[in-house]
Amino acid sequence: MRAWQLFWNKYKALCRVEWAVLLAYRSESVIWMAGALIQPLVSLAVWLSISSGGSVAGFNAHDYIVYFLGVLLVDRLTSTWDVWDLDANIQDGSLSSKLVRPFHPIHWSIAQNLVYKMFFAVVLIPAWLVLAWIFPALRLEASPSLYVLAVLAILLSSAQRLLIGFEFGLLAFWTNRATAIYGLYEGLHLFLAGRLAPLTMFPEWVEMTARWLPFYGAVGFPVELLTGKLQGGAGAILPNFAVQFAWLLLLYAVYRWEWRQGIKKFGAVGG
Amino acid sequence: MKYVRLFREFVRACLVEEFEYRANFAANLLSTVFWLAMAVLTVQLYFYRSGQVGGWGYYEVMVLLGIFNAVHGFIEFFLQPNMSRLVSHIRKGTLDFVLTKPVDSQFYISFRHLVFWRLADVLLGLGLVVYSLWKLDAMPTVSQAFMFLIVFLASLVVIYSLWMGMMILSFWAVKVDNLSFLFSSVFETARFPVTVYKGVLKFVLTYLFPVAFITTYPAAALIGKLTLYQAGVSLAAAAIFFALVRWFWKFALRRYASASS
Repeated sequence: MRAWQLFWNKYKALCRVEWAVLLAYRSESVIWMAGALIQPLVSLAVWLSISSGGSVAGFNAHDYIVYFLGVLLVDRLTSTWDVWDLDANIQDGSLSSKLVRPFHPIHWSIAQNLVYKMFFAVVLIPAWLVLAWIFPALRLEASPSLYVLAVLAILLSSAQRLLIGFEFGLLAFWTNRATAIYGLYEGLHLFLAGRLAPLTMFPEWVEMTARWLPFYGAVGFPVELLTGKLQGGAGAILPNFAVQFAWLLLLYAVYRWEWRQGIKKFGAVGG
Repeated sequence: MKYVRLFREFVRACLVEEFEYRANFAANLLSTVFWLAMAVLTVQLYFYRSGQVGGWGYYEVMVLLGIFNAVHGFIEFFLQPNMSRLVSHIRKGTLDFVLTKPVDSQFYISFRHLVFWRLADVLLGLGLVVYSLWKLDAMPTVSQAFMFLIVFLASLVVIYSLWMGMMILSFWAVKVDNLSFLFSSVFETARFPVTVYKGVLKFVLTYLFPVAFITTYPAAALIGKLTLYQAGVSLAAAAIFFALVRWFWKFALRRYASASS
């Protein structure tokens, strides 16, 4: 019980630190958020232009609009940037200062992610609600139980993407191209996670691949829950949670192993 | 004449610098090819479900994508490296050294640093343009090619002015690096013909952040979709943007209080 209390207190402290950092750089945070909104909006514009009035593979204009708004929100809430921080920290040796603290460095990342995502959620969700109140085209029609499932899927996805980002960042123990390698992964992610288009727009084999790999679960699946596109009942929803969960376990195992190997390899400046 | 000689000297210095890191050069080339392939796949995805995007056919959009890639390469080749240095010049006060040199300061600031491997983006982009034109079986006529050259130059001038204008803001606000991130995000909209966008977005992308002049018009010139009137507008826009930014630079310099003053 006391251990938990202590742990919780440390987390609260970390979150307060990160919150202060965020406030100090609030204009940056807003600029980064705004910049990230553009790519989904471009995809939306293209798809609206393609479908122009009709529907493509079961998506009409309204479906596209809510889908890409969903992508915008879910991607903000799940994407991570640890790979750049870790890469920089490992290369200049400043990871050492985190290693000597009595708290694993990943907790810093988790706290940072929690704080920034709270911030994004607090900005984006009310913005969506207000806009939906004005423009009926932006309204969602899913049932409340689906929203709960969507929140669960978003949590699983952010855990998954945090681990993936962290693992790519840890590659910096061995190579100085960790961020470039992550860039390649991001390129694939853009397609297979459904950020450029709903997965049903792809040829079927691409769709199947994305469903089994940790891509569809990262963005497409939470979005489709949120927008009510996944109405098939438990049969259509449960397998996706199972895939998310299985990848989470696997990624965790990889992370444990990689961390141990990496620390052995790590000789920091002055070490 | 003096400026041509000076430019040659900048090129030489940067080439020497570049060849010190040959392995980097090769790795960077690979990533360039990867990202172009991804961009082509994106277009293929859109055309998998449709015969046209914004009234443009597959190879027409490919011509545009090639031009986008070339312009992007051009930005990374000389705008991005120079402009990010301007920010640090201002922050550290080293801009004074530039100002005391007996050359036009804007020229020096704009061309001193060049990242040569980015020319690969330009070449690959233009390669894609030629290939797509060949596939379209629509080799441009001499007058079309001429129009393209003019409109393309105008496009480069516009994009240069936008960047420069954005970076000049750093005389007042210290952290403009983030603006360049915002810029490259908005620049992503140039991947598609401006006809894709509707309503307010179309207005913004034509007049405020003129994506239309940057990729759509040059591509349209090559495939014979551009009217003379549009070419004229694009030239006028380039002239206006350039004049504005030249004025802005001088204005900013007048207001500049250096570290020692």
